[in-house]
Amino acid sequence: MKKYFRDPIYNFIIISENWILDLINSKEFQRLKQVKQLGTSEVTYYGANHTRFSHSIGTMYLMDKALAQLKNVINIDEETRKIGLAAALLHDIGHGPFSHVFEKVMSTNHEQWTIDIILGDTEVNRILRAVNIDFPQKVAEVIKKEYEHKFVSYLLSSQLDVDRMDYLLRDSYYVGVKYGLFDVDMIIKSMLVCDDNIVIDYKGLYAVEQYVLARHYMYWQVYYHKTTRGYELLLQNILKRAKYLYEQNLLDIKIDLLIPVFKNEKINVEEYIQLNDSVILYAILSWKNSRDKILRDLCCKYLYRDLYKAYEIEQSFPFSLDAIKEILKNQNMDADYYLALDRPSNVIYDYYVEGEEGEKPPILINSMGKNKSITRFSESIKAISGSQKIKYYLYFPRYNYEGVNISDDIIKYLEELKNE
Amino acid sequence: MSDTLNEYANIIELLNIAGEIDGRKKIQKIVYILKSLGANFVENFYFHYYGPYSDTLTIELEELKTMNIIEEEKNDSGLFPKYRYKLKKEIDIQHNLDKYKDLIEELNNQKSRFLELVSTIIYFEHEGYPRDKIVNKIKIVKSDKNYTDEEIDSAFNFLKVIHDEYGFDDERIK
Repeated sequence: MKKYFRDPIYNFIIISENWILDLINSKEFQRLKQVKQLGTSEVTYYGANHTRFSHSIGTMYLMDKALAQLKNVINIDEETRKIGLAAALLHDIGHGPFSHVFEKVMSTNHEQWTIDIILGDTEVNRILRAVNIDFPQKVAEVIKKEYEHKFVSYLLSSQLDVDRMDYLLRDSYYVGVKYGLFDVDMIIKSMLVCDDNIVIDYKGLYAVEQYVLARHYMYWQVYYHKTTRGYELLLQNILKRAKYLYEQNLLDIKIDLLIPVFKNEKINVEEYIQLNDSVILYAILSWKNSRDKILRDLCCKYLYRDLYKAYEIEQSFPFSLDAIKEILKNQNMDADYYLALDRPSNVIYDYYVEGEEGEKPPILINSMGKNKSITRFSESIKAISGSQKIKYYLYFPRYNYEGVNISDDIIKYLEELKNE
Repeated sequence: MSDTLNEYANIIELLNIAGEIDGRKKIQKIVYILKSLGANFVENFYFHYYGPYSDTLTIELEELKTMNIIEEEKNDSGLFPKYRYKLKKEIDIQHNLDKYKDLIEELNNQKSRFLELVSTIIYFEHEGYPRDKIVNKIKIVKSDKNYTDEEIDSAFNFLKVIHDEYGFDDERIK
């Protein structure tokens, strides 16, 4: 049986292998339709409501193309190909709702859930085992970067991989920006394998340059967007507050599906895959009527777009936040929920930083039989990998609980600091 | 220390004790090893070809550099860049790492090849593999490194010594 998927990025994705269709139809994979790829970005860019479902299929599609290209240079047997495709399709299957916000507050870990879903008592596991009894283990090894054919892991996860290539193209399409685009076909066409590593033939240098720049722009303009990050902070504080209230036995509105997580109990896969974005949004809708002032206020802020003020920090570090905490205290506002400093290292995405040999492998370009780091060939990439201006944002409320502006005072204080 | 630097406190203290650390890779492995012993580092690590690696730590070093807290010396003459790090100025430290002072100095004197091996063993121990399986895995995932049996033995011995002295915090490692 052949299935035609209409994909906005690649047009037709044709899948003719039944076991892959079975994986897509499994309940663990179907859940990804209820988990948005970019979480809170949707409130900044209203087009950005694509899901992890389409990204996962796109990643597998690029993996298929990359393996087909590499077959021109090395021998890849059918088993390795299938393992690569399955790993690409399933690499995000453990993502929870609003991924790392949820992880941070609830101390869960999506990488571990991905492995648990592949190896545990699940539909996905049964489908993989039907292909071959040791398939689940090998697919997990690719994702954990422990697989014997290292180039397959590299294709899925490295500085230049099919996962990133798909999400950059897909995110920029849905966000509506054009600077995430690059010539993906040229990059794949230029892939080689050298000592089990993926390297790019010199002819693909310009396409890879485009990719690194796309990653750079998307990072600073989309993933580290101050509004998106502010929303994420609100969401994080909502979950933090609700969890705290639950632990104090003070949470008046309980959401059944979230109780095992609040309890910090070891939950099973069955319970975990019931969690999705809608559960969290339903919780926020419910908690906006909570008797707890902080929880109620944060939920209303989230629902009615009453954001924290984001203030870009320009003064030199370190500086003290005590005076701002004092202003909040005078308004009876708890700084734990109403003040935060955001920095790039808090973001799950990253831009290209050139590592040392043996640290995190850099992108390698093969020219006349020699592999060298891409910065040896490209001045533009050299210029943006590291040593750039880093932005920090301080978040605080615009108004107190009575609706009186308090951000003006805080900004005034910060402006004075800057001029000192 | 001002609260805007709180999240970097341990990295700053580490550099304060070590004086100078030669290589990003070395910092990565030292932090991972200390974290596995229970030191309070918040950076998340995952396995990345050359052993446990933290993107957060890499970006934090970039941040500390732009904040003028640390000095990065980049040697760009070879096929790959090399980095050295030290503190740029005196900064109050929180004394979270006092008990690891000797160990930090010892780790800093080791070759990063050895630290890579030690931290990879810790990672696989945490994954629950027994010693013989770990040795096998090292031969697969680090085939390009050609670690000898003697090196692997001495890494296990080194680990035993530091576990006996500092304990081993299985939960903290991820």
